[in-house]
Amino acid sequence: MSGPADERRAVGERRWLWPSLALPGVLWLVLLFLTPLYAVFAVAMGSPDPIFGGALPAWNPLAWNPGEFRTILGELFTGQLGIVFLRTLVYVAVATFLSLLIGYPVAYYVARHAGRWRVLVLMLIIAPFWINYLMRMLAWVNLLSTDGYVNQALMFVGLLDEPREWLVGKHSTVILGLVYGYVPFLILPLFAALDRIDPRVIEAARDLGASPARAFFAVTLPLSSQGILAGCVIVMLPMFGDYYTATLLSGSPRTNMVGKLIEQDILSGAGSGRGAALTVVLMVFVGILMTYYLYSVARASREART
Amino acid sequence: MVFHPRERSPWRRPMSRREVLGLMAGTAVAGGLLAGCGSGASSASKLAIGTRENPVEQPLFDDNPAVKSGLEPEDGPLRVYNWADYINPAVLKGFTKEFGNEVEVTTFYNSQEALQKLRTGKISFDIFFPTQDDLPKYVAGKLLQPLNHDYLPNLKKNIWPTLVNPFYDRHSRYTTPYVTYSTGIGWRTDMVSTDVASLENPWEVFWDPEYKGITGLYDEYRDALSVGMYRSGLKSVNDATPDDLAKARDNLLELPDLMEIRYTIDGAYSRLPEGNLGLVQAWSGDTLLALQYVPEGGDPSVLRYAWPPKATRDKAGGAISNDCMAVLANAERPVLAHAFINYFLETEIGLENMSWLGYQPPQKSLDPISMVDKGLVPETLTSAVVAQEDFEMGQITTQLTTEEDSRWIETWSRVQQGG
Repeated sequence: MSGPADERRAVGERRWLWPSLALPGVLWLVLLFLTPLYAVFAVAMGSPDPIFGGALPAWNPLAWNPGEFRTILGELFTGQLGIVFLRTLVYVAVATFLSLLIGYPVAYYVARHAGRWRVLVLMLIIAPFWINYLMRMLAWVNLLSTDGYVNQALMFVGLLDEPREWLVGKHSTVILGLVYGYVPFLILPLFAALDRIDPRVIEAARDLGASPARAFFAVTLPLSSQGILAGCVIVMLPMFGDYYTATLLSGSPRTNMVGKLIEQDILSGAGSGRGAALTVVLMVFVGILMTYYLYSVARASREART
Repeated sequence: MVFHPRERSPWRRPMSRREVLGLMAGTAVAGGLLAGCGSGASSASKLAIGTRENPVEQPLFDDNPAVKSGLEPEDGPLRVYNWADYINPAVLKGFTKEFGNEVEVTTFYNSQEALQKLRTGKISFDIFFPTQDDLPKYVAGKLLQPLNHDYLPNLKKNIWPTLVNPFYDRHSRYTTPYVTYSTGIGWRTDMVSTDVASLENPWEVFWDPEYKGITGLYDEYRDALSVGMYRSGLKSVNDATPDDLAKARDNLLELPDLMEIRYTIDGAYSRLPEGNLGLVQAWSGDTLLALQYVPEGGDPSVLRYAWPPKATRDKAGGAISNDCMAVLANAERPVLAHAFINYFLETEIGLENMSWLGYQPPQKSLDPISMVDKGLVPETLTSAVVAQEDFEMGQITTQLTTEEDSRWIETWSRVQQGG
């Protein structure tokens, strides 16, 4: 008679056990993600401190003042701000695509052909992280100056007849900076995905008569799609918030990204509400894009498998 | 990036500039945003904002007295809260040698960050470096303690009378001057053939397409928008109307395509001497600091500085400002802090500091001519030295009301959106 009751208890315990394993993660999210996020929202819905100039956040939803959101949305749909969002999107898309173009062969080489050099090559890919991102960007400022090494090298090999003015607000320079800065983040997840592919699967494709190219496109590429997806998301998210690459490599309003506008609002006292509202709008914008992107890629990879 | 003048300019060593930027990337934005979180509603009443026409005495409070006279300096270490790279380390060592007390420097990168941290009341430093326009906030928040002038004989002895009794802090109740600087135009004669200083309205040179690709303005809203106003002949930047701001905005919006303008933080002290830019908006202190950034084999005599617009009888001239030293209300070593300030008001110490920082102390014995004679400043940059008369004629950036400030920031955001 007691058998079924014990079983029920055991099932009940297990029901309680598994979700509880997620508890630390949930606490972490609440403490370190949702709370600050609500703080940003409260600052956006608040008002500037009339005496000290900083933000007076509106913690109580009844005290919310959507004025800053109205301003930002107005600028977004009728003003120039929409162009800045579009520019940010194009920069990020092009830079991610180029990163993939550069990163995939590297990851492929390391995973499948690097042999005993593998650890060394991986170390070299990570090595730039030992130097601060901004320091590396400042190095680019010197390299790209009119009489810098980049112009000298390009003129030496005959690609340029006269020095190119890289630093006067060129879109290409900013995209180059983004690609340079973020490409290692893409290589690592790609490497992990390619490394996991069983070489026998590819061998099987070759044995069954597929050409190397066919084997790559029919087997390797679809099997690495999760790595491509992860890598792209990992580089796209920080690129959307990037506020210093364009500032250092260009400094022209022609190439400003949304992150720069947020930064300058937030650092100037009475603008923190504006900056916080812009942050929330950017998050929603990126959130929609990412949802769509993840959904469509997931569907594509499902179709590729079937 | 947005900075106060002091938070960015004197990055003397390249490494240090990078450290600063690196730290900023991580902390400044988060700090600036979250800074708002801790503060409840302001309890302080009205701010005492002085102007040249209406000088103010900063209020005293019964519960915030000055330290008593005749006490011996406490034992160290002395704790200094300062802008990053805004003090010559050699001078601090000199203080330690003379007083036998270690000095610990903690730095901040943004005045908003400093204000919010000090307002928590949880951190305690002895010395702080406010800017004159921020002073009313610090006094209203009772973050500073009144100074006891008995400990500061060098103030009256060495400092310009106009800054011993400044309009923003009559009788120097809370502050003494630290360094002073003007905001003008820096250029290189080998890249810019126009004699900028002799133009009718020198600021118009930023719209001269001949200098396309080599011009830069500060990436700071008050400074950059002022240039937009100067171009239209508007001179008093502290009381800009919405119309004035619109004019400034429209003027600045021409610059990206017309001039390929660049908004930078290091234009004057680094990109100008290195020859990446030829014509920049410049603080006088940055222009003198630029001398240390001239590359090997470069010619420092091509650097020039002008400080328009000229003052007329009824209108103040170009922008000028002054940064201060103060003792914090919760200082644990107030007497030692006074000794430190007094030490910095020595002429020799101020000069030693300037030799590293580029920014000059407002010392009586230093005027443009004597500084050139002593070889401290090249003759070609005499105009980058601020004289007491300049300080009396110049226009001083004062704190805006929150409403005005929001309007400036919105305008600035529009300028940075381009198009």
